[in-house]
This record gives sequence, C-alpha cells and structure tokens, in this order.
Amino acid sequence: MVRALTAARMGFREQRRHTLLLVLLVTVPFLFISWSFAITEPLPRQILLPGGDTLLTTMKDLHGAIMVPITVGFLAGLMGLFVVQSALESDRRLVVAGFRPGEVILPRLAVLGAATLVVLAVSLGVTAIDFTPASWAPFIAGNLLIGLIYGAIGALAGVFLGRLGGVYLMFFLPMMDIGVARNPMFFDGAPQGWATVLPGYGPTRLLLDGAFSSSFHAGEDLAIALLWLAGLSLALALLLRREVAAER
Amino acid sequence: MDNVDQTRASSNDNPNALNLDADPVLRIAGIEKSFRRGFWPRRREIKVLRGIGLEIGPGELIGLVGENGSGKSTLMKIIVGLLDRDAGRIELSGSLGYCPQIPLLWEKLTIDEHFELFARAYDLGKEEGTRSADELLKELRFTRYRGYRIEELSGGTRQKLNLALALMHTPDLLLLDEPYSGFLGTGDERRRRNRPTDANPESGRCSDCGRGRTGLVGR
Repeated sequence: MVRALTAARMGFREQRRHTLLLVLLVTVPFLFISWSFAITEPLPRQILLPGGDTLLTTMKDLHGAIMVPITVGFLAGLMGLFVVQSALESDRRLVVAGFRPGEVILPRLAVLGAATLVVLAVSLGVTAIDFTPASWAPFIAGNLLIGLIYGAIGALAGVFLGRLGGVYLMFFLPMMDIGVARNPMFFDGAPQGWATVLPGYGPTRLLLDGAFSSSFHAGEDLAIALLWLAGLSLALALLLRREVAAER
Repeated sequence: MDNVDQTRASSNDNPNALNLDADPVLRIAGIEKSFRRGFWPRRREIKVLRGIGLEIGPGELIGLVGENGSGKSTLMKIIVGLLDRDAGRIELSGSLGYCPQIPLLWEKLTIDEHFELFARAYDLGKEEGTRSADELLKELRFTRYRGYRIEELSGGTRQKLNLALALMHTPDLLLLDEPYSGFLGTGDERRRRNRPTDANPESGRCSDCGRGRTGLVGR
C-alpha cells in the first residue's frame, strides 16, 4: 500500500511537470467547444432523442453539445496513451526491483482517471458559458463515460500501436465515432446500424438525452456504456499486468 | 550464444572473498530464446540463446563478452524477468540488482525521487534509503545533480543513476548490462575501470565491472 501511494505521488508529480500537456488540457476545450458555439448559425434542427421523442433545437446548441464529448474523448485518449505508454518500460524495472504489478498499475490508472476528470471539468466549465443542458447529471455522466472509455482505448493503443500509431488512432477514432457516426447534425439523432457497435454509442446517447431532455430516457444507453467501460478496463488491467509483470 | 565459457575470478585480491563451496546465488540451465521478426514473406526466426547454463557463487564476478547481437542483454533480461524464455530453468536465491543497458528512468522525476521510489521497491527504511543514496551519489560523483530532473541530465549522469539504482540495496546478485556506456568519469575512475575487477564483496557493490561489456556479479 505504501509502495502504491509512493508510486501514485510520483505519477501525479510527473504529469504535473508536463507543462505542454497541461496547457493542451486547458486550451483545447476552449478552442474546440467555444469556437464551435461561436461559429455555428442558430438554424433550426429537429432530432430524435433516446426514448423516441423528437425535439426541435438549433444547430448552434447541437454543435456545441456534441463538441464536448469529442474534446473529452480526444484528450482523455491522448492522456491514456501518454500516461501508460511513456512509463511502461520504467514501470517494468520497478517491478523487477520489488514492486508488485498492481502497485504500479493502480497508480497509473489513478493518474489517468484524475487527468480525465480535469479534462471533463474544463470542458464542462467552457460549455456552461454558452449552453445549459436540460439535465446536467446525464450530460456529465455521458461525458465522464466517454472520457474513461477513450482513456482506456488510448492506453491500449499505446501498448499495441506505440506512441505514433496511438496518436493517429486518437485523432481518428473519437472524431469518427462521436463526431461523424452518431452526430445528430448529420443524421436525425438515430445512429446508423454500424455506429451502434462503436464505443461512443451509449455515452453519446446518454449525454444527448441530458443535453436536450429534462426527463431521463437513456437507461439502456447507460448500461451499454458501463459494459464498454467494464470490458475495456478489464482488458487494460490484464494487458498492463502482462506487460509489467516479471517472468520468473 | 551457444554456451558460456565460465571462468571463476576472485572479486578482489582477498582470497577469502570467494567461497567456491557455497551454494550458488544464481543457477541457470538450458536457457533458450528465439525472436520472431517481420511478416510473411520476410518472416524470420532468430535463435539467440541455445542451451545456456551458468552458475554464480557468492563473491564471484563473471563477465559476458560477445559480439553485437550475440544475446548478452537478452540473457540478462531473461534472468531478471524482463523477457520470457522459450526453455530452461532459473534458480535465484537472494536479492537482485539490475542495471539495464538503456537507463529505464522517468524523464520528469529528479534523481532524489528515483532513489525514493527504488528505496520503496527494495523495502529500505527512510533512513537507510537516504544513507545509501548519499553514499552512491558521493561515490559516483553526481551529488550536485540530485535535485535535477532526468530530462536535464547528460547521458553519462543518467547512466550513473542507472547504476546507482541497481546498487542501492546492496543486492546478493548484481547484473550490469554495459554499465559504463556513455559514462566518462575522472582520470582516476577511468584508470580504475581498466582493472579487471573491482567488486567489493564486503559491501556487495561492484564499482567496476572489468573489461567485460556485460557483467554478472555474485556476492
């Protein structure tokens, strides 16, 4: 336990010293979200919400609301990639020296979770300047789940694809998954069949329900999102254990 | 690498330092390792280690010498557990210190923070860890950099830390993989390094590893 706490303390300290990364975590939400609200015309747009209701809103609100999960997913994915990938080799040495794999892995995941919360807090703070969701709780929960899911995907990508490949994937996947495949600006809010199997499906429906509906209709979407999160977390924990564990 | 021509050498001038009758600190037998690289049609299997066997007793120093790609670092990594082996047996008794060929450090942490982390890994108390770190910083002459982050250090100073982290808990078995790459010290240090061995079985620390590019030191 003392070892894990020391590793966590060092892990947080290490990330705090990545000045450029901290600047990125704060400025990207401002640029992505505020800019989207600023440049989009408030043209009327009808969308289909979870639960089957249709809603008349504006492209401006829709664009702003959908940029929040794109931003959170993109940044959390990058954090997952860098937090895990950059420290993997050194963490293995720590295990050789005497740490148990869990004492190295849990602090890394704690750092990743905290970074996701920072991204989420900044993104929601920026959103609140221009847009007020009909119901904050599902909106926050949906974005948090997007952050955690993409944080895990980023970490997995770092292990399998390396830093460069992981960065490419993180540029591509959240944008395709959240920004194109299920974006109510392009479709009517009911995603195409193929889009429902992507990781952003459940949490995006959940947050859109919160953004535009004061009553909750996204129980099934919440369950799908939690299943994705549980599966990815398990895969990540097993993979990291295999990667850092000493072979004896 | 087919096998190791094992020549036992006393780790200093004191004949009492080497006890050939004592149980070995490390015993390995039949170690095999192959790497599979590339995709069809350029898929290749590279056999690196074929039936390696080795015993290291207390106080012994063994140098592994070989061409590039002969498997010295691979053997070290297999012994410490950083690489899986295809076949063979490893019996290790006692604590292990490992100095990898490429320093595995955290760029944003300071030298002192590295010592703190590894003191925890080795279960050293706060006082013991600090004392050990102070001694090594002094011995390897990089005390003035203790508050520096790794990203601010030269390659040689990184390598000094890399070595110090392997030594700080006075391990029973010390594995040094090219411990002096990029490491230029004072004239005295360079002269000392040209001596065949300079291991100190009393402290369990091997300040020098002879001329072998890769060394294993048993205590």
